[in-house]
Formats: sequence, C-alpha cells, structure tokens
Amino acid sequence: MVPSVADNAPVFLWSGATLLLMALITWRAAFTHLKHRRAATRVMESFAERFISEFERPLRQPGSVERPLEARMRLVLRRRRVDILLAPNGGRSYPNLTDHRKNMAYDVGRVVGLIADTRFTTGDVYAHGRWVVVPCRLTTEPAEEGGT
Amino acid sequence: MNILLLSLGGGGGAILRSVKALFRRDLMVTQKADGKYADRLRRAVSTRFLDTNEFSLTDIPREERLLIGARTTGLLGARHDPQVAAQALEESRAEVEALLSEYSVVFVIGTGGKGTGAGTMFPVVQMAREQRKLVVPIFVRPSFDRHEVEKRRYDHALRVIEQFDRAKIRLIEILNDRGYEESDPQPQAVVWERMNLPIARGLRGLIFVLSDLSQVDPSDLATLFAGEGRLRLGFSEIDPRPSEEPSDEMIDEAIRTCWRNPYYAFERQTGTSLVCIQGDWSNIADAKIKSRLAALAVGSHADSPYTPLYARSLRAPRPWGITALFAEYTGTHTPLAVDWGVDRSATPLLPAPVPLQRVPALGDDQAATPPPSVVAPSASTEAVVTPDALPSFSTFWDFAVAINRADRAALKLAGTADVDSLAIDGGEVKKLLGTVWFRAVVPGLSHAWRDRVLEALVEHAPIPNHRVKLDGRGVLLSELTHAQLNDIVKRTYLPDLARADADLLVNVGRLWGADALRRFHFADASPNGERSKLGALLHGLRE
Repeated sequence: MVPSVADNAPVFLWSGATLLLMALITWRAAFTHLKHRRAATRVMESFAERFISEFERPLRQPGSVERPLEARMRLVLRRRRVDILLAPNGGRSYPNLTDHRKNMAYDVGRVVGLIADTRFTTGDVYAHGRWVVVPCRLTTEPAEEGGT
Repeated sequence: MNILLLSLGGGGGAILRSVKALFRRDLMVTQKADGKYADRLRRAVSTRFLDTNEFSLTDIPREERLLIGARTTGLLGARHDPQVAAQALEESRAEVEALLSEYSVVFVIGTGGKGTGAGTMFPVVQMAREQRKLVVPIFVRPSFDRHEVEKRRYDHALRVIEQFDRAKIRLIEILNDRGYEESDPQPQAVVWERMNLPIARGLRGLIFVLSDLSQVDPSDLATLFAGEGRLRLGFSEIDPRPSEEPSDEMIDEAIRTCWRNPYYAFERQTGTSLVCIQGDWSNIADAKIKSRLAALAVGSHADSPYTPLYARSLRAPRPWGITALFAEYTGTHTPLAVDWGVDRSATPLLPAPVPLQRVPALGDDQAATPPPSVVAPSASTEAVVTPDALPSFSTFWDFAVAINRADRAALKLAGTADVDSLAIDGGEVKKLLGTVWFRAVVPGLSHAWRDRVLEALVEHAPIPNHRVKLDGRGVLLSELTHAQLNDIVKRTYLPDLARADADLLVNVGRLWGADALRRFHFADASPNGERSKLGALLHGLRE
C-alpha cells in the first residue's frame, strides 16, 4: 500500500522547515559576505582616491589645467588588495621607476604617512608597462555599514 | 632711493651673478647715452651674497659677501639641510638685520632644493617685512622631474612657498620645470638668461619708479605688494629708429613679450600692476602700448580687477621699452605699512622734472586728490592713545589717511561703531573713492563705518542719470547692473562726466556689493554729460 501525502505530512513539514532554515542561513551568510565586501570595496576605493589625490597635489603646476599624472585603481577583493596604478601625463616623466625609483619610494612613504590609515600596508612598487603599481593591502576587517 | 639685491645660498647667488651681469650690460649701453644717468642707476643698486659656505663666494668682491653662521657651520655650508641654514641665520641675525635696515627696497633671491636658500628664504623676507621694507622675494621652485633635486627637497620648496602664502607675502616664483622645452631645447645658460633677464630689466623700471616717490603714489605701490599671491616681472625692448615712432608690429611684439613670461608662476587674474614705459615717442604709441597690455590683462573677464599704475619716463636713455610688474588679484588687502623714510633725500634719476604719470584705470581721480604718503605709525601717535580715549580727526579724509598709514588710533576707531564722532562729507567720499589707496581702506572699516560712509555718499547728491550705449542701444545708468557697468567702463567710450559717475558706481558695487547701487538716487543728466555726435567724432579722430 502506497503511503498517502497526508501520512508523510510531518516529513514534508520538517524537510520544508529545514530547507527554509538552510536558505535563511545561506542568505544571511551571503548578505553578510556581500556587506563586508561592499564595505571593503568602499574603504579600499576611498584609500586609493586619497592616495592619488595627495600624490598628485605637489605635482600640479601653477596655471596648468592638465593633470600631472594618470591614475587607475585595481581592486582584488579576494585578497583585500587595491593596486594603485600611476603614470606620467602631459609631457612629464614622473612617476616612473626607471630613473625615479628613489623618489617613488620617498613619495609613497610620504603619502602613506599623510593619510595615516593603519589598516593598510603597502608592498614594493613595481612597473607594469608604462604604469607604476603601488600595491596596498587592507589588513583589518572594515567597519560595517554606518560604522566608522 | 636704494635697492638691495640679496641672494641666499648657492642657487640664489648664481641668479644674482647673472642679474648683476645683465644689469651691468644694460648700464654700459646707458653709459654711452647718458653717463650721469648710468651712474645714478649704478649707485641705486647694491648687491650682497649671503651664504653659509665661504668657498662658494671666492669670486665675489669681499664687500659683497655676507657669510652667516660661522659657529653653526664652520663656514663650510649648511650640508644641504635647511634646518642648519636656519640656525646659521639665527646666529647671524643681527648682521642681516643691520644690512636690511640700510635699504628701503629689498629683492631677496633664493632657490629651494638645497640648504641655505631653502632654510633662510622665508625668515630673511620676514625680517625685512618686520622692518617695513618693500620686499620682493624671488624664489625658484626646482625641478625634480629633470633631476635637479630629489623629490623630498622639491616638497620642501613647496612648503616654503606655502609659508609665504600663509603669511600673505607676495613673491615671484620661478618654475624651473618650464625651462625644459622639448619643442625648443636650449643650453642651460640660455634658459637661465631667459629666466633672469626680466629681473635685471624689471629692476631698471622699478628703480626709475622708486627713485622719485613724490611723483608716484607710494600707497599704490604698497597696495600692489599687499596680500598673498604671485608677482610676475615682464620686460620687452622697443627700439625704433631715431626720430621714428615704433611701428604697430614692434608694439605688438613688445607687448606679447612683456606679457608672456612662461617661467613665472601666475594663475589668477591680473590685479594692480605697475607698468613703466621708457622711450621718446608720441602719446599715440603710449596709448597703443597701454591699450594692448590692458586687452591682454583684462581678457574676457567683464569684471577684471586689472588696475594699471603707469609710470612714464621721457628722455630716458636707451635701451627703451616696457617693464611691468603684474600682481595676481587675490582680493582687496590693506596696503602694506612701508617705511619710505630712507628715500626722503633721494635724488630723482632724471634731474629735470619728469612727466611721470600715475594714470589710473576706471577714472581714478588722483590728480585732483593728492594721495598721502605711507609711513609707519609714529611712536608719538602710539603714545597718546589710551584704551578709553578714541582720537578725533578733523575730517574724514584725515581719518582715512591715518588708517592707510596703519595709525593704531585710527585703526582702533575704524573698528568701532562710533560713527558719530566724525562728520562725513559725501563729496569727500566721492573724491576718495577715486583713489586706489582709499579703496583698500574701506574693507578695513567696521560695518557701521561702511554703512555711514555709503550713506554720506548716497545723500551727497543724486547721480546724473547719463544715457550710455549698451550693445548698441541707449540705456540709463540707473538701469544697469554692476556687471554691465563694469563692462561699459572697460569697453566703451564715455564722455568724462559720465565716465566719472560710472566709475564711482563700479567702485561702490565692488566695495559694498551690487545691491548698494540701488540706494543711489539718479537725476536727469544734463545735455553736457551726454555723448554728442560731435564729441564722438572728435574722439574717433583722437584715436
């Protein structure tokens, strides 16, 4: 005799409840992950923007509207890393590592010191094509949304 | 009048050597034409080379050396350390101050990037300012991009420049980066000469102006140098054939050269500026020079703050041309308290009366209202002021003059709301507003005084409601906004009467805000104030 649906009602109920719970847990975990990811993205982007702005400030020439450098950022969220890519603009030669390695090391230290964000560490700068890459790593968990 | 050219450190010394050589070359040309004039020029300028390293001054005559910090540095240099240089200066402060005290105008030349220039530039300029000298700092921002210095030294140079801005001291900032032109590569010596020549030639014009302060309004000069921002020296030669007028092409080229100085930092609009014209040609050529320079300075800004102070020298020996000192407009500032006292017994460069003009823009009414000279507040004035007793001035004019002299008693009264202590004559205010120095005094008055002054002006008499041309149609003065008035004053021919009233309204709008214009009453203009067809025709012929 084939059991009826009504006979298996408790099983279905429990299975359904378990599935729902699992879905909730998964959703919660995904939500938390995404929230952290968003927070980390925001923190890393903000750091990179401040870095670029402070790096660029002394390079601006009076009376010139042209930006003295080109800048990009590359986020590697999985590794909590933001690479800041800098290249000269407007006929200038700085930044580059060919003849300005020492100046670059000084400048990265200067900018990091000014920003004074202890959540980040910087690695050795390296060249990639015409770009100078400043790798920066977020070492702590960023504060959750709405926090500081 | 005496001018000190003081270099600081090796970089400044190199520039001063070059300026000195260029100035001497000019003097040789002048000597052929007029030996006495050349002698006066020569006597007017002294050079001193300040350094911490005695070996870098071996080629300099002993009397021109100023070695500082013997104990701090052993006279072996500041070890490329600005801090050491600053200590050396502190050690020799008395000698440097004594040197500065002998001159009324001081050019301080230094370069950023190493030790002595970078470490002493700002403190030396401050010393001169404290002694109420007219100081022209010339500071070189080195290039790290082209490996003149390391980046950290370049950044230090920027911090020196920021010190000047914070202290509201104008400076000439030379950008070495601009000396490297990929499209026009030149040997370094050529670039340096290009950078330094305007200083040498600008000196000639400035010496001329400063040599006879009775004919130049010192308050205007004090206004030009007041506030933060950059200065730019420009020069160009105009060398017409004997007894001939300079051609239009010559003038155009000279104006372009004088205006363009790519090596100097200058990014804002041009404000009060000094333009010295030297050469025996007609007033037509003068007018062309002024008009073309004004066109460049004003550009497309309807509300341009360009206020030229013209100095004209006839019978000056060659080389002829234009020298100009342009100042960035950074707002209205209280004129500097400059002690011109050292110059009182000075002999003018040219012995005969020189038709030196102060030709203000915007109908400045200087001729009718001789300006006061700027002097430091006297000790006796300070002594009689007590906290409770405010001084009395016989007229508002005297009061304004005292404020302009930075008289403490006047400044104190100007900051109060005690506006009834002095009767204000609107006619007097009207005349005062035509002067550059008074326009710099107004922002220093308290709100109560400003209101009272404006009220006196408004009540004095209605403004004739002249009909003027705007975009080809006739409009009344009362219908114009401040911006439109500004535009008309700068770009349109106006009969003298109408121009004076329009200038007055422009100045009121600038000092009290555009809304203040609504408080004025206007009366029907007399037919004499209108531009008649005959008047327009005659004006056309004059042009």
